[in-house]
Amino acid sequence: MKLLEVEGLTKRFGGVVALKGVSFSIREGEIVGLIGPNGAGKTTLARVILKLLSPDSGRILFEDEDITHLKPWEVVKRGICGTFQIPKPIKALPIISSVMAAALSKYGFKGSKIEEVERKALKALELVGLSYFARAYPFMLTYADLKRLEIARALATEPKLLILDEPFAGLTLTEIQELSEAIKALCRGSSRRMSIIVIEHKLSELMRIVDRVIVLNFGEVIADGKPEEVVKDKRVIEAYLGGEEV
Amino acid sequence: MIIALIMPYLLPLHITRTFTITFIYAILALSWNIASGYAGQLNLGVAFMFGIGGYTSAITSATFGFPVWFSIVIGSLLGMISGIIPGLISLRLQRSYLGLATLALPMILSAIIVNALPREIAGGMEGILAPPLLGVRDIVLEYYVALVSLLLSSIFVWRIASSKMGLFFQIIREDEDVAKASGINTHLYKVLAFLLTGLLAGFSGSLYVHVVRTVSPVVTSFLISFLPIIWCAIGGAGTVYGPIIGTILLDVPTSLARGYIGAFAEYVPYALLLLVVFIPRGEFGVGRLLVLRLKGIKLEHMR
Ligand SMILES: Nc1ncnc2c1ncn2[C@@H]1O[C@H](COP(=O)(O)OP(=O)(O)OP(=O)(O)O)[C@@H](O)[C@H]1O
Ligand SMILES: [Mg+2]
Repeated sequence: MKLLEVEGLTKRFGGVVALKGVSFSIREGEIVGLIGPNGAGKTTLARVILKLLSPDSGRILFEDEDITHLKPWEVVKRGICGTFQIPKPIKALPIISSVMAAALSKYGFKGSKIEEVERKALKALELVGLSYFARAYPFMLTYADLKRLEIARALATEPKLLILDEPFAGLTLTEIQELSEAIKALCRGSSRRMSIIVIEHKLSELMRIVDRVIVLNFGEVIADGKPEEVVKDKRVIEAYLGGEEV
Repeated sequence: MIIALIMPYLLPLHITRTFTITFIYAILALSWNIASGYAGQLNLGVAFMFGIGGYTSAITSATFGFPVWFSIVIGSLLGMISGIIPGLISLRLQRSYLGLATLALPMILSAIIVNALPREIAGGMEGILAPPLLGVRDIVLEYYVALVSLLLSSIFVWRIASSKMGLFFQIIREDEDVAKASGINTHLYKVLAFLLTGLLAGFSGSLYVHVVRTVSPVVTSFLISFLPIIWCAIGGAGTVYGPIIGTILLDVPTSLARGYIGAFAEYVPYALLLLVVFIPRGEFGVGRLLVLRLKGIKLEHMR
């Protein structure tokens, strides 16, 4: 079943056309890689789906509902949540507080006690391996941990679709492997079937975890398919020409 | 606390009265602190809500003859409703732009009072007399009313701060994009923050006019908007104790100094405004900065 369907999304920034009629869909329980060179429009696409930006034209359907004109917090309530490419920790508060806020925004105090919300937040931190730091402040964390914190915050809203913007950038190889395992476990291990969009520069890091890859170049989808097919695609190879490997 | 309780028996009446006014100002500082200290929405015009509360309460009791306690309730409620205006502005404007827009509100209010309202009701430039807080003038009793009001207001703010709402306010202050991405309805909570600020500012303004027993366009003055910011910044905005400590620390000496250095003292509050230059980060306050420093946490870590 289709979870997310995006039709003809266009987004301009002044003269720059960041997205040109982007269309694709995401099925339930799928992990999809969204790749493309620098400035291809990946982050813009994520922000438009999360409604942190409004598209100039096009439609976004989630579970057959048109969410194109919803506010970002309504999108989160429907079950889409994402991370920021550059981590944005709430530095003035212990990390559990910002994760709890994300959990609370969906459930509120009604019906669920504060302890229950705290348990949910701890669970989210545990999933990314940060429960030990629950009471710590963000400045005590490494960059890799801040990226994990981003994921925990998003997980706390219990999304059906999780959008991760370059979760591996800036991490060491072992950290990437750990995080890949964690992401795979998120999708496959739990009883809930979560779909994940993972944004990355290159496919190489994603090869082992994604079911499908969408390639964006200059705001256009130039390929959409199985990872092993996409790497052979002529347009994809051209887009990455100039020394970079796909 | 005990000192505050027995103080009127130890000090001369004029000092007791100074404290009464300071406590009422502390409520104003607490009110500013909700939308600006906790929710991070720059508000340079809290005198707007203070003035609405003060005028409403004075007019309700003096012109329409309602009891003072009732007029204070009405003044606080109207103060709260008036918070909708800066609240809605905060949905469109941010930071300094929001500051500039809110700065204009008390000026507009004072223009309306002087020019648009009938003189028989609002008294124009001279203002009107307001009945005393307790029907008769009793400096010691008024002191206790102000003290209890401050206590109740701080419990109120403390309850908000430790609730879901308080947490959402702080996330909005730190990063509005993160708040939205975490599913927080930033529009709703920003307006709520200004409503709560309006409620307490209106309450403070209502108490004030019945203690000084008169209301005039002075209640919309620029000092009423700016001094609460200085008090919060010194004591620590975004905390419950900060605004109270800051107000008592700064307002009591300046008020008392008025008795000794005369007309010159009128300049002291303006000089206080200069303090803002020396405050590295108002959200922390001088006291909390010291505590952080002792714990070895650098300021840069927290922002
Ligand atoms: N807020 C903005 N204002 C103006 N232009 C923008 C804005 N955000 C993005 N752009 C432009 O839109 C284009 C797409 O940017 P985007 O950040 O979506 O690319 P990206 O694929 O995420 O790149 P990267 O791999 O570097 O993260 C770029 O040309 C960028 O300069
Ligand atoms: Mg990007």
